[in-house]
Amino acid sequence: MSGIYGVEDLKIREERYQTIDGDVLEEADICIIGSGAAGSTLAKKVSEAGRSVVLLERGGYFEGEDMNQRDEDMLPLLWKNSGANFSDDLRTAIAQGSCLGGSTVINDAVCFPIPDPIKRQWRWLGVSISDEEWNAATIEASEMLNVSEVGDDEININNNMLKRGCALMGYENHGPNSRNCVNCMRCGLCHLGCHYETKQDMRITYLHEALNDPKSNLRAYCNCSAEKITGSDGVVDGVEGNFLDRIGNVVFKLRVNARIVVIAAGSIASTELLLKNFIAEGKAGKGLSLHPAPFVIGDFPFEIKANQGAPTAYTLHDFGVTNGVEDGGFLIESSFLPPLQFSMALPAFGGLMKRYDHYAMARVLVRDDPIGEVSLTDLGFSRVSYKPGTKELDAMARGAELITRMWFRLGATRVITSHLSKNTLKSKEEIPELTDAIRRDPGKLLLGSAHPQGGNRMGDDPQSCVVDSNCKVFGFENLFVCDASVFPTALGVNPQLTVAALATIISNRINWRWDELASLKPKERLGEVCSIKQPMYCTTARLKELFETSESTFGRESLVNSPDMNIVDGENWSFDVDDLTIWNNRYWKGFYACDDDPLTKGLVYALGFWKRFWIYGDSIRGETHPYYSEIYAANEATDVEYPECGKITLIKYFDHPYKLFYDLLKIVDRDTLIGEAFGFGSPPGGKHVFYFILSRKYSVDFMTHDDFEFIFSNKARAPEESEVLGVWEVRLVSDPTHSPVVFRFRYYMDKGKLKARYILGGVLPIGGSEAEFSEDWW
Amino acid sequence: MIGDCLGAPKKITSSSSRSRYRITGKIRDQDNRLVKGYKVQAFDEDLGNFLNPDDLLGEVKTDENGDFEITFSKDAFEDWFETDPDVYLEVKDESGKALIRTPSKKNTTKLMDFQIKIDGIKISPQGHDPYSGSLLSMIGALRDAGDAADLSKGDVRIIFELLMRVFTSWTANRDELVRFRGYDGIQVPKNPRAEKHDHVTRWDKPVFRV
Repeated sequence: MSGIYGVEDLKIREERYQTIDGDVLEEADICIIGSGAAGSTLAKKVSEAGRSVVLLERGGYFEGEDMNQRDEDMLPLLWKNSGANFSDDLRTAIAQGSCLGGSTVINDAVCFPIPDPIKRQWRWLGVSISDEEWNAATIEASEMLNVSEVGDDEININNNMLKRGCALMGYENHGPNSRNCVNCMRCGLCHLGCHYETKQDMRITYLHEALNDPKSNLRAYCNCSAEKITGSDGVVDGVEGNFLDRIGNVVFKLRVNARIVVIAAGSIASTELLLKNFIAEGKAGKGLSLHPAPFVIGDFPFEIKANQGAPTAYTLHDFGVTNGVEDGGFLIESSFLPPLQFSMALPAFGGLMKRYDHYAMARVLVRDDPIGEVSLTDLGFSRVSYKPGTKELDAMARGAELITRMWFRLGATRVITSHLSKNTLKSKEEIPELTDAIRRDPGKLLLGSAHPQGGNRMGDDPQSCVVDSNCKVFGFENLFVCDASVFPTALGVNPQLTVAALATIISNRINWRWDELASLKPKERLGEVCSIKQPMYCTTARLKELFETSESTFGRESLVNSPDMNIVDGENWSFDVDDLTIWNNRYWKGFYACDDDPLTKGLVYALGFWKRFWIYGDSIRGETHPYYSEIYAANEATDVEYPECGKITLIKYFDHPYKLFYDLLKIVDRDTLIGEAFGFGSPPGGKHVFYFILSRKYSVDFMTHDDFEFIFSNKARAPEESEVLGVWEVRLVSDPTHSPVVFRFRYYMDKGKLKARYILGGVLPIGGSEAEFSEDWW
Repeated sequence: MIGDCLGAPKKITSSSSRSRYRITGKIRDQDNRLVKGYKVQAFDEDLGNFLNPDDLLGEVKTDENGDFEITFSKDAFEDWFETDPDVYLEVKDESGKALIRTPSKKNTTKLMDFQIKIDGIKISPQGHDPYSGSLLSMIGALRDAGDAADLSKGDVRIIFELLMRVFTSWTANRDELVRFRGYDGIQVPKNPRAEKHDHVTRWDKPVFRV
């Protein structure tokens, strides 16, 4: 049944919404990561073709009624990183959305079809998409998004200033934009979400249709951050992730088993996800463009109230790709910001906000070369490195000069720019200082980017490209990346409509080739979700539920372990390299619930234990041994039946003081069972003490010292240099406990030499050291 | 009599009436009956979190006519950022059960009147507030941004400038934006789900302070 799921307890929603209350184990034909312009288009097109779709979105689910038009409230809810999304030198602020609907919820709703020169250039660069396909897809997307040209009456004074300026200065190719907005209320607050739902973002168009189509099977999970893509030998089998609360704490876990995985998380996050999973290394992250856009503000003696009305409704095309400029170029777009955002774009001092109503603003949208890069920090966050080159700076200088002349021509008393050294001009005679400053001192130029693109290049060369013309990742059968990150060059225009068109084309191709793609039988995994098969990932509340609702299917005989306490590989012990699990029948390893509270943690650290059982004549005897102690508490296992709990296996202890306690076990699986420990009474009375789990099968995260020694000496080999590159999480080996990640290693190549850095704590990179590895090490 | 004698100075009342604020009102239940003994608390709305919690301006119980009156002075709410209180009331019944939280009156003058009817559709003070936690989200986001920042590439001047802009935008300029400039475009209340509103409402132009 289609619907939206999330962590927050939301009421009165327009779509079917349910709060999730535990770990989620899902199964779907296709798992899409990211619900922006590409992800939502794919979700709708694939689900209406009859496939089951799980859509993962890191942000939250917000509707028009939640948009209260106040910067301080909406930026943290709708914007990626609450708006604090910068390049690593903090000079470029990158605007992206993080909510159901993605950046389409917070953009200015500008729609341009993919320009003709771009179609040709991309084909020349190896993208096999014909003009006909682009045109048909653009028309389809335009219809879904209700794209229409801005009417004369809708153009506000700010946009009219640009229009009049263009006419006065004699430019030829300029005109109103097309927007995906129906009956716009002209509040001018597009960046903060459209309260009136007149802006046709992905949520109210594609997703709304998909969720309400009775034939479709679409489940969208919000507040869900995808972390791992699992698989082997070029076949992916699914996605693992975390459900996060507002602050970023993990509240639940997710595992989706899927036949096809599509990454549509946007230019920076898609690369981050690929790199974190060691996919397309050396290729992913290269070739990022940002459309860097310096703004130029004119201060006029009359009121303009530029923030009221459709913000970006007029464009000058003369110098841009839309006018046939094949290489580089720029557009001049009318633009404005809501009050708080605008205030942060102005210099801090000088009382400039007092003139807010008198400002007109335009920006230079530069079509930059793909010179930026996305990489990973030591903690696994994305890092954007971007420095505009001479070509870009030249375009910015020319564009800024153009706008400055225009403002003065229209009667501005001063012009304000985003260059820290030359941020005010009193007359057009000062323009050469500005252009000089931009070209010679770019370090002080603050830039905004609304259109990050590229990083996971599409093309036909597997050496340099990440995806092919079907958006399929080279080297994989069923993994795709489909969003603005696959653009081989910058688009030169606002990309929203092109991204939706691309997703339309790719979803058609996926639908046509469905049988071929879905014939693979990917493995089904459990990830780290709580399940009866791996109850050590459950909280106490879930354990209680599982215990009360399960029925014992095996009796006490199944408790018997190997008589040999030493590891005999293949007989009482084995290691599955593919699953990274250990099967250990020397004893039953004990586990507790995974809650974070001090009581459970105390149990985990102080009372880790194992139990083992053997046949003793007619009965089954056993012993319980807490690690690092001298205690071996002898006991006996008998099958009993109580009216309160049905068939159950009872463990009774012989000696004092253990005979004050007893355990009841429900054995639902050959290798895993849940137990409840009681005390101070005899069965079936007695007080509940705690729940525990016994398992013969556990993930390597829980390995004991014996397991570690055996694997290290007999199952492991020294890695190749290339195999260790990347970031490794380190846990301590401990018999009783499940150690958290205590530090990280990062191996990287520096001028041909392998180096390592370690980061203590996993929270801040407060510790670091460099180590050199030489041939002898191996 | 003594005060009237020539030569003796008249006593001047100690608290200046300029700084005294007064909230009056009446509370009725859903059957329009006046309610007695309901506790009314008046708050000045700030950020509402631990950094800048809402100030309690005063509390009182309704009398047999459902009337209440709360007075307070500037000291109860004045802080760095604001000079006029944004007042909202919380009403609890005799058993202490929270009933209603009114919308805030902003840029208030000295006398505020609240006519309250406790009807079936309540604004629950414990209701889901979609905007809480924004400050923590922002701190988390800034931390992530800080991790990716490479200070060796950054210009100290830029970092300082950015911090100053954030600081002034959120303090000095914010006051300006809301109070002096006003906004005569279309606007919605702060919590659209909780406050009944028409979609097209106008922020009231703030009164100029002398």
